[in-house]
Amino acid sequence: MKTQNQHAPARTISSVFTGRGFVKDSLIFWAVVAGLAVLGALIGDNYIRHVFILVFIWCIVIASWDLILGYAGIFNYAQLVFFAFGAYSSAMLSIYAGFTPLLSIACAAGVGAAVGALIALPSLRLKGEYVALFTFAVHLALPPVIQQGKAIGMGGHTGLLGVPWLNLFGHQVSTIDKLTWFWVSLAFGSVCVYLIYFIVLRGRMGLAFIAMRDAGTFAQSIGVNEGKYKLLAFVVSAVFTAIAGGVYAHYTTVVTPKILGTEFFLMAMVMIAVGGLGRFPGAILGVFIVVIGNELLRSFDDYRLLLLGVAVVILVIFFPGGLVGLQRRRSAGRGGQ
Amino acid sequence: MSHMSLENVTMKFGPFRALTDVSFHIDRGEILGVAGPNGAGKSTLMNVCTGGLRASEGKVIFDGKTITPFSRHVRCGLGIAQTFQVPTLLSSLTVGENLLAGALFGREARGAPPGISLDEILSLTKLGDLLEMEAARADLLTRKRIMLGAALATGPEMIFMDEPLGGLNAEEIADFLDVVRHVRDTLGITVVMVEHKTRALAEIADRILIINFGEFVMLDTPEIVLNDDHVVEIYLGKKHDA
Repeated sequence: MKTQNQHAPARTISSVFTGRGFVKDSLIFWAVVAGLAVLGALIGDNYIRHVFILVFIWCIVIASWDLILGYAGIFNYAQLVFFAFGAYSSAMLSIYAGFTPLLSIACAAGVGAAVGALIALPSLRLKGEYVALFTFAVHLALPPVIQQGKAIGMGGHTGLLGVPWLNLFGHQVSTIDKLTWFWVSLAFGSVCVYLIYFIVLRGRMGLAFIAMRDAGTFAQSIGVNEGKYKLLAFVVSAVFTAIAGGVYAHYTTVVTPKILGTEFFLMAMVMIAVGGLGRFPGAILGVFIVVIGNELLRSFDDYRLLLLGVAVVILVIFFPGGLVGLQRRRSAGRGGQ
Repeated sequence: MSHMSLENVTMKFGPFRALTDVSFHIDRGEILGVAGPNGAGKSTLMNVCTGGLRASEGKVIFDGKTITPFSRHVRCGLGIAQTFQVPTLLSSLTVGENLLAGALFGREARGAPPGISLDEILSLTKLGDLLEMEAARADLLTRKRIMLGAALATGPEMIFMDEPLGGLNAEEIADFLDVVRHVRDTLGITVVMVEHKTRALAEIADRILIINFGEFVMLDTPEIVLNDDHVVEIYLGKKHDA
């Protein structure tokens, strides 16, 4: 019997984009987050807490990068530009305008949206690898701009010192208070990562991103508005990364052009390479492995960057899909037997 | 009744003219075959109709509305769908998700729910048992069916198919032609089919359009077109050449 109502066909498609497994996966996610929160209290060592705080902040950056690079397939290499704008705008708003840090982080998100849109507009007219060239050029051009920005209070080469501490409901959270910072950064990190992977990427936007990545022309022919969704990919990615920048600024209380330096960029590249793109939780695992591994390598000092570089080369050659690629290959192998 | 018409359409790439002053009507509810030798401008013609290219001169009119400057997704929203010669799908997703994407974004582009239900699409494309399969693992015929299914899910009034029979064997061709007939007969969708396989085209098309060197040659019923001396000459060369 054919129903009159065509909004509700007899058969529906079951998919992660229509909510399949959402509750279960969400419960697992928040259980892991709760476990990490308890872990923070159990760890006595402030240095280890510090490493985890960095992990949580990096998780936001890498999840945002995974959104645009891994899911939407846009070769954006200006991710740390968003981070820098977030860090500088949040720091400057709280230093010069006296905003409370939480408010300045929120404003930094707005700045991130604007910067994301600004970088998106020329990128929308470019194809594939030219987007990579353009966005990386923006990344390279930013440090000299920041130097010149000394005149408007950007601190030049030495950066901005004395960024105000986070003020949580009247309670000042100093950088030394690692336990509170552990929880604060975990809260920011888990909420942002959840919004990115569970809300944005499992919704219509995520489906549009994957469609554009897999088959751009076909996607347009079935109604995907390429301009709109590519712009959204830049803006959403930039907003979350700018928030991470803001949190970072108030945690370290120092913002310098070093956040656009080779070390940070290499770190981010290695995280993506280790974890693998476009498949949760690959990139997030990459962050944990690389940040913790990087701390373990501290004793190598000057050779650390070299080791990171070698790691990227080896990973890209032998494990092009990262951790998730490895897991995928194994399950594919099993299927073939 | 004209569903889409081209008025003096010229498509230039620099100094090269891929289409020169082409005009014709596509009737509502017909199956129109488009044929011509390699490089005749068939793909260009299709792109001008579906939004892949913007005609340099002339007009494309759909349902009485000029759509010449509109991009692909806008035309999709108006009810113009297309399938491609090489079936590129959303290969990291399941078959069902490919159809879902068509329904979802077709609806977004149109601003209203598409008028074709999932049941109809599944009975037509016979994809019902394959919804959970990864699209990347489908064979060629299945890939073509998925692509058609996703295009139909957008709820089109007219569909352009670029060489839908390419790479299929005789049996598969017969199967696919059946599907195309159903698309027109049960869903009432106007079908425009670019195809090299003229025999199959003659079997299914109501009319056939022949273009050569980017110019309109003729548009008539298959019997007339395929028995026309000039058309035979285009395909086989002049009789007295040898």
